[in-house]
Amino acid sequence: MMRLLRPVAGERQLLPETRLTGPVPWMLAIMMLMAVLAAAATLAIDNGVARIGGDLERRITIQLVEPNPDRMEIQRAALLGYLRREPAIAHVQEVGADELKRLLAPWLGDTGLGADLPVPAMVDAEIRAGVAISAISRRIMAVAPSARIDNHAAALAPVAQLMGTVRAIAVMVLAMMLVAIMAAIVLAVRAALDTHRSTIDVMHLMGATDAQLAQHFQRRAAVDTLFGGTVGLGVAALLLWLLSQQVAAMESELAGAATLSVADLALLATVPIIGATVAALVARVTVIRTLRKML
Amino acid sequence: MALAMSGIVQFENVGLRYGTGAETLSDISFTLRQGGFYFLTGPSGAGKTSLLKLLYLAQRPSRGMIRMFDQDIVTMSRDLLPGLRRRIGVVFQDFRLLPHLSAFDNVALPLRIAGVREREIYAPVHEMLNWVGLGERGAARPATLSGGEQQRVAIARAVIARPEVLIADEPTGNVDPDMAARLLYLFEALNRLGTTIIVATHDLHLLSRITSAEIIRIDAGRIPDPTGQLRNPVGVKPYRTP
Ligand SMILES: Nc1ncnc2c1ncn2[C@@H]1O[C@H](COP(=O)(O)OP(=O)(O)OP(=O)(O)O)[C@@H](O)[C@H]1O
Ligand SMILES: [Mg+2]
Repeated sequence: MMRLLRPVAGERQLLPETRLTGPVPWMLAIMMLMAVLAAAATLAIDNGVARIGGDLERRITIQLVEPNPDRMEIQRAALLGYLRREPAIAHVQEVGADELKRLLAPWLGDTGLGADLPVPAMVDAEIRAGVAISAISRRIMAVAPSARIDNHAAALAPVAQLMGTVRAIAVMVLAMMLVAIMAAIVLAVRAALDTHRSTIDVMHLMGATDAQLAQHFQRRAAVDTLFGGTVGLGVAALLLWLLSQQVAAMESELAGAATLSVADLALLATVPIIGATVAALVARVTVIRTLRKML
Repeated sequence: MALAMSGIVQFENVGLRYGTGAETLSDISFTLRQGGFYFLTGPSGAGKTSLLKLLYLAQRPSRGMIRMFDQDIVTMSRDLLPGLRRRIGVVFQDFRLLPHLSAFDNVALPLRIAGVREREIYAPVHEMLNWVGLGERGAARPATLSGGEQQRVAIARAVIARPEVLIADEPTGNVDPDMAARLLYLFEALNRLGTTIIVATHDLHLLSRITSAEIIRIDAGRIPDPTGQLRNPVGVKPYRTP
């Protein structure tokens, strides 16, 4: 990468040290901004989906609603026994009476839960990946007929679907931005080749190789893209910081799940470098393909 | 030596046609010896520049055979051209200095293209600029130089890399007679060091100055003397101005 950027001895004084063309670096900055934002959205959604998928989607909550305390106790024991034996269940956690009281307190008040009021039994279970929830549900109903099964995935399905769609759009925007950046480089390089046509002719006649001439243009493309990328990344960072402040203020578990890790931020910071490398390659190919048509 | 026997340049029935018009050059056949000094002369529009373009590999012929440096350059792969071009120095009729580079950098260009290290560039370029009387103008852009000064920069650029073949298209068209004599002396000095020199000119005075030079006359795209009988043998004063 650094080799691409450093002027090589003998190459420095060959062509005018101008930008590819005036507005191109700024155009690249805008496209890089979009690319970074799209990449950030993709990563954030992946993080959110990973949480929903990992923690929530395979979790079920089983409630036993049985007014008769004796029958309730029998079913509770049967349920827990089954869940602990079942290999498809990764984790079982009975929600204790204290926890239940805490959960119900806002509705019933401190004194609402006495011995006379039947408290439902509640068990959280985590199903292993790849196991159908419906099959487990049927077996639970067999051992504990008064069970009510609450499937988190079902509740979150529309949200997951929305996130999937947004992610697909973000990936598409990212891909389109990369294509647009490459197209901009191709056009800018062709224009520059046209501008310097007579210089290139003279240098060819003095024995300059296509690769020597290409080096100048690929370096320019890399520098301009790196410039645009850095500006774009800076603006994107600012926007992402503003967004993260607002997400934090929402205190939503779901929105909070869709955040960026340090590794993600480091990955985003590489976008301008990747862009510059791609731009240099595109410039090189463009120059060499154009020059090959000359003598 | 095989190269000396067969010549450094061989043309056989070469024709050149620009686009779809009539042939600009027809049935051109000649051989240039390595180390020879040649004048190419003929009226304006005769095809001198066109012939030189074939020689400095700016153009491939429409027909015929051209060998240079013992290689068939008509069918030669494009990738091999830079290597041959670095062995050829060219003074273009219209100079073709690079406008964004100083006189110094223009002269240094062939060395830089050849990959000569920066610290080995200053001394020879400076010396060469001194030789053509432009030692003080190294920093000047071509646009700020007179026609004659530009021509001298072009000549300095053509000879800086000690080419095996020097091709000069009207190299003295814009300089005074004293400078013309000095530049011709430079060509002679290079020629003595082994460089094959080809100078296109219609300056009759110039022709008479190099007694050992051979003259190739071209008229309307043909060399009217394909057998070479009319060409002046080496060592005989070829031409006298009245
Ligand atoms: N690139 C070109 N395309 C078409 N025709 C050309 C081209 N270059 C030269 N010609 C034609 O070829 C003929 C020979 O031109 P050339 O430049 O070789 O003549 P010359 O002998 O160098 O003339 P001068 O002494 O005026 O420099 C002219 O009729 C010219 O119009
Ligand atoms: Mg001419």
